[in-house]
Amino acid sequence: MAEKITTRFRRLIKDPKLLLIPGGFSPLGARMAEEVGFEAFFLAGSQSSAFLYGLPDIGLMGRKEMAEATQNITAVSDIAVFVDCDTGYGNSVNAYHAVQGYVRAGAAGLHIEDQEFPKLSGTGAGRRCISVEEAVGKYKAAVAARDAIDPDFVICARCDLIGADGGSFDAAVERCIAYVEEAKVDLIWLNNVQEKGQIEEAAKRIPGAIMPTFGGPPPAPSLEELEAWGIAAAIFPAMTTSVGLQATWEFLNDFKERGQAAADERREQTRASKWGAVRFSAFSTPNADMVKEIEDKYLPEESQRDYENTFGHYVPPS
Amino acid sequence: MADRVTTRFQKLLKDPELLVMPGGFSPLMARMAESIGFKSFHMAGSQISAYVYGYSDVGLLTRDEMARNAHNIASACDIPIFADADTGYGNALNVYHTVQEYIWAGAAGLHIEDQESPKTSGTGEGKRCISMAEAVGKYKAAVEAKNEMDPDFVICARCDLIGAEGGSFEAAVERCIAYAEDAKVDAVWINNIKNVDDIAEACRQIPAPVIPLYSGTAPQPSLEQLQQAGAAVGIFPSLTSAPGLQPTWDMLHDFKERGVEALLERRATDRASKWGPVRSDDFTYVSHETAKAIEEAFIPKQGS
Repeated sequence: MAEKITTRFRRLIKDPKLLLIPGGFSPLGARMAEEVGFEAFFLAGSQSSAFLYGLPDIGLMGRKEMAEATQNITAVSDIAVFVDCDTGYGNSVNAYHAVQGYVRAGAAGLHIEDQEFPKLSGTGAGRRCISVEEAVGKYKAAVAARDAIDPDFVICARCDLIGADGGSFDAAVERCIAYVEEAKVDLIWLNNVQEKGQIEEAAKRIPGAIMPTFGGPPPAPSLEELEAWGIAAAIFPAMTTSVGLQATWEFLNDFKERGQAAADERREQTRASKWGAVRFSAFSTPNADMVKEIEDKYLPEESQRDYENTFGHYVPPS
Repeated sequence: MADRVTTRFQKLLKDPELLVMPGGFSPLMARMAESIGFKSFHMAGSQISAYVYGYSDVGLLTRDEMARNAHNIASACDIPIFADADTGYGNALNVYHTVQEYIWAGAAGLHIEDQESPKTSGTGEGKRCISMAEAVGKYKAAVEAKNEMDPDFVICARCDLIGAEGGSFEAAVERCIAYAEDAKVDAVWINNIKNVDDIAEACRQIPAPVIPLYSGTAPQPSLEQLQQAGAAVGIFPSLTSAPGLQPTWDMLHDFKERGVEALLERRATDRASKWGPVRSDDFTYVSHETAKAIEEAFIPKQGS
């Protein structure tokens, strides 16, 4: 039998090789990442809020909505899905319930941040954190919730203290140490690190796997530096979304100005891609062959579709 | 009070000017289209299937999933949402219920196609249509369902007969005429037209606003050609989703090969854009300013 997805994700986190986790909101984005060879995908709350609901990342999406978004991805993708669980949607009781909901939705791991509920974006100003005691309690609840149904599921504590009310790098690292030692979380996400050197320092001081995000001015650390410092994973929440957003913005403006000529030109550019032109159907499940196979095998003769003598839209050669 | 969104959509359909309708799956992209000045948005089943669920457009989605997505989009924007309702998810009974669900969801109109249920993609081969009598019955059910709740809600019949089993352009036009005359639908979408002359011919014959979807070889007709042919709407179901796909595919490869450098390079390119760089926050419908104002007005200050 194949390795369970949670077991595999746990192994990838522990592996000394830096795990790259591109993120987004779409099952299609996850499938693309899988095709390109990434081994995990991050379902980002910020991206789900924006692209699925048109909402900013200020704690308006709920547990059920994220669990559903999770299941939409896990239903069609074989790579590990790491899911944003915000604050756990309340206190330890809510966090316990959220963890089990995500395990059952097929996620391989999740992170809960130590902000007050309702949360604010982890990348913006105005964040407030709960006390370290309350946070440790929440992470213990999360660990107990997953131990009850799948001990391999990865629990990550995200510390949002840097930049929050009364926060500092040192206080954040101290918290992270408590999250590992007392709550026994599997992974620490240290958010908003302002200096490259602090990433190296955090890796030394925190006794567990860590995944820092850099929020300071350039230069950002390279992947080689992160790996050399012993970082477990590097996460890029908008990797499968921001490029498309900009491209869509430019294309819509161009289309508004030039109409069909803009669309024709875009199609030409697509064909010139170094990595080959793609269509969305290439990443959708089930693919055309599988549909035909199921129809052939299981539909009665009179219900079979006639693919020979019918036609669809013209598809230009790529 | 401002016009209801359904009333506005009826007006836009009847306006002699071509309504250019971008489509996609995302409330964010609908808001982006709105901000650029587009006056309506098409929620495309193919795009919802793919981007929200990772599914192919072969009839796997249900009424409930589609209605919820329509609600997500409609509640985020002010422009009318024209929502894909596939086959209506069954027979005339299902259609009746689907129409009312979509009205509750806040859509301004929907389209139902005359394919067998479960459907297959309207752009692929293998389509099978139900009989004209059954289709007319379904469209009558749809019209009655909306008349009961909101007579301005737009019911559009999509004819998928061109390219389907036993189909032809002439037979498709004949059906469209029946959908308009017998079932009294508000608009007709004639799918899979292979040349511009056929578009003009369909618009001449069909006594209702026509949404033709060209699917022949290049060149695609220009918007001016569509307008001259008499089309009511130029519909582009993947206009807000297709442009992002290729750059995302390229970015994932580039990042895999070059790491952070690829990201930084892209950011620099974005900044140089003729239309400026954008972030998702630029299009969300509760702005940070609104959120702050609500906080200040209604949340007690710390310590007070």
